[in-house]
Amino acid sequence: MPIDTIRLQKRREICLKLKERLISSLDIPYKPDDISDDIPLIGSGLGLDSLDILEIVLCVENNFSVKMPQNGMHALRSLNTLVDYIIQQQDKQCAN
Amino acid sequence: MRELTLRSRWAARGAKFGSLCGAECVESFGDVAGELFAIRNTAALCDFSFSGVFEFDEADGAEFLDSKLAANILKLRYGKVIDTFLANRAGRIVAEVFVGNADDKIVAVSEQIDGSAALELAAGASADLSGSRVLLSVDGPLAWKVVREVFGSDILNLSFLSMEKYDFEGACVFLMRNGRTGEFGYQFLAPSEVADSLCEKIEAALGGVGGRVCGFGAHEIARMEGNFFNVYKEGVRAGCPLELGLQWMADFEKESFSGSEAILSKRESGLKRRLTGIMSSGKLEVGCALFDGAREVGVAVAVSESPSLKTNIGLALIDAQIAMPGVGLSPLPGAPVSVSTVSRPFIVAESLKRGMED
Repeated sequence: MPIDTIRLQKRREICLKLKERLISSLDIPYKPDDISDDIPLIGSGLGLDSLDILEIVLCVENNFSVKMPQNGMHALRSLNTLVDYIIQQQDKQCAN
Repeated sequence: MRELTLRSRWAARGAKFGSLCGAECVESFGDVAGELFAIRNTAALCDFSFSGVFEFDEADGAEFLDSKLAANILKLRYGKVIDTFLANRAGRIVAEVFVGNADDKIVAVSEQIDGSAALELAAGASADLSGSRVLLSVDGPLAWKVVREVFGSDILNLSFLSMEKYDFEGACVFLMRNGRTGEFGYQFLAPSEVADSLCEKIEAALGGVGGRVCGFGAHEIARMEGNFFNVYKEGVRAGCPLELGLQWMADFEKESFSGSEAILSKRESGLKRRLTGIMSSGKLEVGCALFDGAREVGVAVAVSESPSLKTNIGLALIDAQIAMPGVGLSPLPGAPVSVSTVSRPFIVAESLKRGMED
């Protein structure tokens, strides 16, 4: 089964855009390349706190036209789980 | 080999002993799946006294550690803990180090894979406490209840990567909140003289929540499932902190740290491989190559069965161009796809769902 390059490219773009927006809105002292896709968002890793979570939610809703659920902590476990959530929601929007 | 202070206590409970970088450890109590179940569902006590423990005087110690470790230790505030690494001159990780600022002392707790790491830290320390302290870890969604039973409700105010000093039978015990399983996690750093009675109290509290003792084997699986770095697994086999995705443990703005020249040079030239989570329908071996069709694109650096997920999970260094979730690979050239790259953490921790609610 060949690798789905279109899907990978879409994911790469979302991931980069999310990193750039988070760096800018949360004043994170790293370049996008320094942020691993699996980096934990809360606690270790980026070490964001509960106020930062609000910023992330706004960042996702404003930049990706995706609504974050009230209890969306599972999507905020890492950058990759957040990208998974964004893609899943965008796919749902396309299907409707 | 440095023997565990609580060896006879663990032996009486059926411990299977092993060693980690010249120090004894409890690998398991004969039921790794049951021990992991306790970490994921109640609480488990694990003896981490195989770690190196070093004490530093505040001002000189901070400068010394800052010159060696990747994080900016000079920014470490009172009562806080920094998770960072020590690298060798070639830029390979040799230890994961937690540095805490408490009282007028700085305490460094290290998991090291190389004897030189301990020597390097000891060189600037006012005391090497590795043999005279025990380090006990309590992890699980109910770990906070266990620790509250020992030190009172005050511990509920302890945020992640913080530490506090407590009195226990006249001895100074440091409590750190620095779990590495995805669940709530606390570590007690206590003088050997009170190790048995502290352990007695912790175990009594564990009994109250249906918890148990566990070995480091269960912890290692929990770390992998929960997306926490393990210097003894992927640390040994991958080595490069950038490929391992540990840039967040480093401050690239500071002047230098041990191994910084090699690390910064690699950062400049860009990464060819990145650590990626994998799931496999078949059992994989460490060192196993991974293929996209006939093209070799990666290598497994840590593998485990996950009793929580009932499948094989692992970490692989994958060609940076495709190191992202959703890629199908195979362990033999041209073979059917049986391995897929996935997002980490592999699990949704129970602590995240339950929170700290009675």
